Amino acid sequence: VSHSAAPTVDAVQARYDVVVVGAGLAGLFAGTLAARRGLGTLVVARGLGGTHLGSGTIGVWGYAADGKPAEDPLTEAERQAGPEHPLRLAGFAALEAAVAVLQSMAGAAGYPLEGGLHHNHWLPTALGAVRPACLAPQSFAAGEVRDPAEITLGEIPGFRDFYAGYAAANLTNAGHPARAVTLELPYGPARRDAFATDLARLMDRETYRASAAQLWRPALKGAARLGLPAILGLNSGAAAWRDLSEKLGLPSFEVPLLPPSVPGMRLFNVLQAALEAAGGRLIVGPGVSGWVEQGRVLGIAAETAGGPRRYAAAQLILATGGFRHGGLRALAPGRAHEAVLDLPVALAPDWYAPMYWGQHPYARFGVQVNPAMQPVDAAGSVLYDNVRAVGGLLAGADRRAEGSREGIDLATGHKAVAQLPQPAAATAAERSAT
Amino acid sequence: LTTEAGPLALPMLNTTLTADLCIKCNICTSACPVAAVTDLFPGPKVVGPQAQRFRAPEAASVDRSVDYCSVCGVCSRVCPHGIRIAEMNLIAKRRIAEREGIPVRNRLLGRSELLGKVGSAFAPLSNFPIQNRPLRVIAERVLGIAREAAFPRFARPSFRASYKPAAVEAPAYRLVYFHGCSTNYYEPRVGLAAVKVLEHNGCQVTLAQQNCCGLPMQSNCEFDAARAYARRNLAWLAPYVRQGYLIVGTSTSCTLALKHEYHAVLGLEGEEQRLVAGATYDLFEFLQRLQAEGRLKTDFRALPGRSLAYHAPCQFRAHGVGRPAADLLRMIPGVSVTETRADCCGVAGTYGLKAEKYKIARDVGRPLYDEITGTGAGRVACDSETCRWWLSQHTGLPAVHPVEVLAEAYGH
Repeated sequence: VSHSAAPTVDAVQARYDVVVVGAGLAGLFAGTLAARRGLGTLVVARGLGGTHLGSGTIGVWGYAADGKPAEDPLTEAERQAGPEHPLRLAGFAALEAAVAVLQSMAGAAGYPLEGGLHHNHWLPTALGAVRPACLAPQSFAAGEVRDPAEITLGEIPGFRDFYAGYAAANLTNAGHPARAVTLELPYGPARRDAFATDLARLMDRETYRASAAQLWRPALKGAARLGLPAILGLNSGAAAWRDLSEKLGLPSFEVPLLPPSVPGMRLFNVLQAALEAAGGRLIVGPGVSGWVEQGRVLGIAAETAGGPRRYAAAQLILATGGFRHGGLRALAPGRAHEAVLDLPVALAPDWYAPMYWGQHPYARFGVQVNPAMQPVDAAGSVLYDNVRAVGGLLAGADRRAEGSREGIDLATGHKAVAQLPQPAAATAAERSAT
Repeated sequence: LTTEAGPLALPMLNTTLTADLCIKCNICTSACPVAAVTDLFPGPKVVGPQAQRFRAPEAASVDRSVDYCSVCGVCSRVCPHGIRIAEMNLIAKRRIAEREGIPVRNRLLGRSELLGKVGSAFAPLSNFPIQNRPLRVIAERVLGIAREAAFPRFARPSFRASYKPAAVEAPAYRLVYFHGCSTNYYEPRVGLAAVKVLEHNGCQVTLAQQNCCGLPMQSNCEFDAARAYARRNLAWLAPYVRQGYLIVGTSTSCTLALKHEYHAVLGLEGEEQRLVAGATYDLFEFLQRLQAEGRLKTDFRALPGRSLAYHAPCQFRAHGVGRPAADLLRMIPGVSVTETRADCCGVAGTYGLKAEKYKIARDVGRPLYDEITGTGAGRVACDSETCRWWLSQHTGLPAVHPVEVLAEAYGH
């Protein structure tokens, strides 16, 4: 019956109500919400990314118009986000709903995210700067720099990703009194450099924490609070941090580091577990391109070990990120394209600001969407009615400069899934038959 | 570009050149199950894309620690930039082997087909030495094969000798079943179950001539020997593909070799390689396709109270097709499936069988053993034979290929 000479090219490998491309915060969150709605959901991504590179905090709006850290993220977002900003398009109701869902998801997993939409934590970075975050893991909260209590930062000899003395000096210069102490680990990798993940896996063990606390107590006499690099457990949620703080008898907090980010990995684990618990599927590995026929998006083609495999999707959500994450690709000077469906990318003639940390115009490039998160052309017409774009792929935001990255991921993901139609009766029947 | 052994084939060169895409984000390091348990291994980024710059044609490879890479492939899968890290490491391991020679032990472990032919012919007598403790101690001292590592028992008759083809009227698909060495010589029951499941679903199954996929030799750095096996398989299988056959296998590392390793690691090219790679399916990947086409039969009988811990092995995950076995097993009434999250069981083909790597491999798998025993499941289901044998040893649970459960549910 199907003895074609090239039998794999046109075959459909599997059918889903929703395929989400991208496994960062936006993709995993949208995928989980879709699966929780009872939709057959596949999340597929070329490798891991967003979560493992981020700090594990949730920024909604970090900075006031004068560039200083903002007190109230939601009010600041409402004030500063323009009409084309993804948060404005998704709507602040979607943002509030999404943040509540994420907090309950993380709390249920034993890894609570503290905070609310009208308050930013101001937290120390590994360089001793101050970084605002709307939600932060419990293990970060005691780092609040507006708390006048002196900060003691722990320097772990031989661990190259955190220099407590440098961070303490910068904090002190900025008016947040801090000092550094040396804290030797009970033991660690001896025959090579230690990665944060090595130390975090050791800290998952109660006996290791007990030894560390015993070693460290003398050096911490008189300390009001202790800041440590973010290594307090990888697979034990907030428990390792809580236990170590109790053993030390003083409040402690984590400072996020260079990638790979241990707090980011914890967030990924929360999201992956939530996705799978809701019945969603995750494939990490293949690159993805769109499957488009006669102007209709029928699904995706995944670049598997054996070549392209087609996954039919009634609805497609693109959560592939911007230039840094492969969702957008810069071509010859002045040109860019969207990686999965070659959607039009909103550009400007100038790409770069003169200074590295300046506000680069390219940061705002991306795919334009309507309030239903459907990609639109320059005239505002919907390009494919069964496609939605979320997160860092979207035009109109400078996520780093605004400190709005995760807020956009959550709000746009929530809005996109809320706008999905229920599956056609045939699809639902097919699924329930299986 | 040349190495001590001559020019690198273009696909191999392309594999090593992916190092240039690395931004040093360390996502691979964070996911590496070997670096997680031993500081003898500095992690995939360090020995892979980072060390690759020291492997220019004229330079000696500077770092022997790449030998501790188990080539489980987790790094290549999680890399967001498409770098073939594990494949690159294997090519680097082979450069060390070119210089320092390949131990007899590794040559032996690479020859699963030869071992199988001899062992199966003399079974059950041949099972005596591999189960005999004093002999295993000697094998460890003389050869370096870990005395603790469990080996499977040789079966007689072999799969090919027990297999009887059935005629299927107007078949939906014509398939070549690639059984591999393990099914042929150790676990004929897996092949018999697979053939029954495929025939039950209206597929005509054929056994083409085939030999070892070559992967065990490739993993033990004998690329030339592996290529000879690979080329023979391609020559035998390609004519079937030209006639419209698909190739379906139950040994997930064999199917991965046909699809990917022949090209990306061994550097084979050409029409036969492309045809075979494009037409090869792992069994549950193929069954999932049947389901998507509405052809999969669901006349399952219930298997009440059957609880399974399903582990998708690294080699299956490397196919990039998700976990269709878990989805299909859940369709059987009475079956409950708990999926494992831990990446690797540790053995990685023949890695864990080596005396100097045995303890590392055992530690790699520890989170997985705990996960599996924590499910309370009565047995483990896993698509890779070496992982099944290893998991069975370390969890004390029987381990089956998922197709064995499916065949039972179909009443075979």
